[in-house]
Amino acid sequence: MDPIVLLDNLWVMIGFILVILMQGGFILLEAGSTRMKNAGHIAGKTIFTLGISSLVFWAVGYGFIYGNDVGGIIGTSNFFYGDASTADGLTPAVDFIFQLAFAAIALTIAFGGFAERAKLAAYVVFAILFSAIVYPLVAHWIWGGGWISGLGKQDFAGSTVVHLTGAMGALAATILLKPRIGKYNKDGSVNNLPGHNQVFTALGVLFLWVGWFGFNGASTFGVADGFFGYVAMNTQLAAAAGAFAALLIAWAVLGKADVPSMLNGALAGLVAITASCAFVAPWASVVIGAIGGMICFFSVRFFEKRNIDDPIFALSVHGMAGAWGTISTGFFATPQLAEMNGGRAGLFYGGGLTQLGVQIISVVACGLFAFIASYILLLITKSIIGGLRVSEEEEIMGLDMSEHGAYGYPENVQPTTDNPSERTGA
Amino acid sequence: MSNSSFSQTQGFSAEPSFKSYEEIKKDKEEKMDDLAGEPVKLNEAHDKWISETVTLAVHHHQSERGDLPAHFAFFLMGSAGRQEQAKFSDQDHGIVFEGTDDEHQDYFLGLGAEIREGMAIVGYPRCEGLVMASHKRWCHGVEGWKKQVDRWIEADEWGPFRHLLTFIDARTLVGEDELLEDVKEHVFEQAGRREVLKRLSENTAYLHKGLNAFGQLLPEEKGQYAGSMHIKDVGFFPYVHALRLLAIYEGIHASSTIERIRQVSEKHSYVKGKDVHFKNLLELRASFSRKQNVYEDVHYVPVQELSKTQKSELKSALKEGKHLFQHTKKIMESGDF
Repeated sequence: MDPIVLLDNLWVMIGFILVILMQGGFILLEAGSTRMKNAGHIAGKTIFTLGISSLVFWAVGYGFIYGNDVGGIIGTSNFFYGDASTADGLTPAVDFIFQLAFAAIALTIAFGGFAERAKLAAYVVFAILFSAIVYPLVAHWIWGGGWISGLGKQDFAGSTVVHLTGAMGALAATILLKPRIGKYNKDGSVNNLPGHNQVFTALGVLFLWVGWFGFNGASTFGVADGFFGYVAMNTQLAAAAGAFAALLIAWAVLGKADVPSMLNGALAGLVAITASCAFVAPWASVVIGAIGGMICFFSVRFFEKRNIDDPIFALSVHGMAGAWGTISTGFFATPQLAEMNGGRAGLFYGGGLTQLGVQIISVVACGLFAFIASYILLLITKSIIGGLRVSEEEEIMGLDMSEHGAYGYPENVQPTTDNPSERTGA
Repeated sequence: MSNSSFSQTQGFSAEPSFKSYEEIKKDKEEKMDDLAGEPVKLNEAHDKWISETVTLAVHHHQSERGDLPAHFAFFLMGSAGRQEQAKFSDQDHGIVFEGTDDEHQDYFLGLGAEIREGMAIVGYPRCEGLVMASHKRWCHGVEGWKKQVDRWIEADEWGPFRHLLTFIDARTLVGEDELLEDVKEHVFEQAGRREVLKRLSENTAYLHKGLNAFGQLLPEEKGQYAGSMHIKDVGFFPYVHALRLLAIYEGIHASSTIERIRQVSEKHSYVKGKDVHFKNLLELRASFSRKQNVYEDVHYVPVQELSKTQKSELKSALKEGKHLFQHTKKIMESGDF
């Protein structure tokens, strides 16, 4: 194998490892953002749903995305994938495993909407359905030669495919599951249910930030021209701008330098630049990241006021910032980079409204599909397992105990109702 | 000058107007709704209820422990000391007596405990920070007080400075005001030294934000008081802290913030007119007194229920308070008086 081709393979393999390690970032982010009594559950479910999504992706997911296209809607071959060939390019196995990591990330994002109140069985069933149907269809439409890729859609590493799709799954879940006990008062006013460890949350963001260099950087699928460095630079600038802008807007609006807002802003910058990192100039990356951070800040407040309880902020960080990031290339894509990576130049570079229109259509179409499909699949899940949500008693005692029989922090959690019969005499 | 309604002697002959703490409580509950909307009358009434409670406590204590061994002054601190109490208020008080701690502290601590329990029955919750005459820190003879104040200043630490700032607002309610005045003379002399004033200013550094960068009010976002502003922290405190520092500097013994504003305005023009804003804050809080059912309620004002004028007055008060606080701290800490 040619040394450069070998390096291409190695680079994508490193990308796969970095993206898989992002699951560690999600474990810390989600556990830190939720309460102590659910920490072991949150961490553990991330690992086993990674397992489920991997198996489903191998069995049918990859085939639905990259198999022979039928009507621009779905792929129909390469199920139970097992191509061991070593073609003179990216080997099929390396390509497969890199793609698998993205599918797993989308699922983890969707599970943000489940946090602190969904049954373990709901995770299992929905993991299979989402990984088999929702993600593969959107990925096929945009990356697998489907109808949107035919329009010239620009989504370099998945602002729509991964983040928006995952967030729409989370939105469907938050609506069906309803808010956590204690989040809202009867008069509709909001209570704070703060995460138990802000250090975990910040470390989670840092893990994700580092992992993003695999997510975006390795989406170049090669090292030959060194373009991955440019992609990484734009990624870094957008994340930095997102964190900074979110901190400033939180400070200005709330009168305090709110740490969770800033952390969400960093992630929103990363999510936003995911689509556009290969299409825009560095200055535009700063603008895209900064706007992503600010959109995320206002979005969190918007959803919270509408009784949509999103403990991990998946809707804002991945949904709103994902939509913005996708649309942003319609404004900022430069002619040179569009020519190099596909699609057309953005509005600000004389490209007119064409690319912007394509980006908006894809966001609306993929967002709507992912939401409706997830909603229906969750209803199916609900009927299969007899309800998505744990009982009030189980929620109060915490999912560590109710779903797994042991607390993540056994010495620190004071169970309130772990043995209700002793309290009620029942 | 004596603020007492009776002539105090070592035998303490004044007769209480009420026979029990429960009777005072009843009187308080009956009259509260009529008074709560008027800050000045409300504070006069609080003074009356507390002084009646103290009078009764003295009688109870004398019957148990014998006649008062010395003259004393019972004084209030905190919002009661400044005559800025709301409908509900917790206890903040102390005792200064004639003679030494060795001779009489035990007796007056007992009296402090009787007062504490009596006030609790009347409806003034015990102070969680133990700022009560039943605690050794807040019950001394004149010389004992002076020595303690010297120790607080010498310690040069955050906690003792907090105690000193609390004491600055002391106001005699029952007994011989000369005793408190004697201690206050000493305190103001010591605390008014430039380096001490600078440290006291540094001690009161935290300003709760009431307005955001766009000039909008910042109510609580979540929880039981979502939509309401903590008017004590964001509204009153900047004025209280600034005027206390200025009072120390100018040697003004008056404890009420409005009186302090009046007295320092001559020399410090930037303070002039600030009493209007402070009165607005007092009246704003009082206007919601009917919605205040427990102690914590009195600190909150529901922003959505404010009229346009009230909102505008509140914004102005917060803006002016911030300026007053920051400017005062600046001059105190730079020494550029």
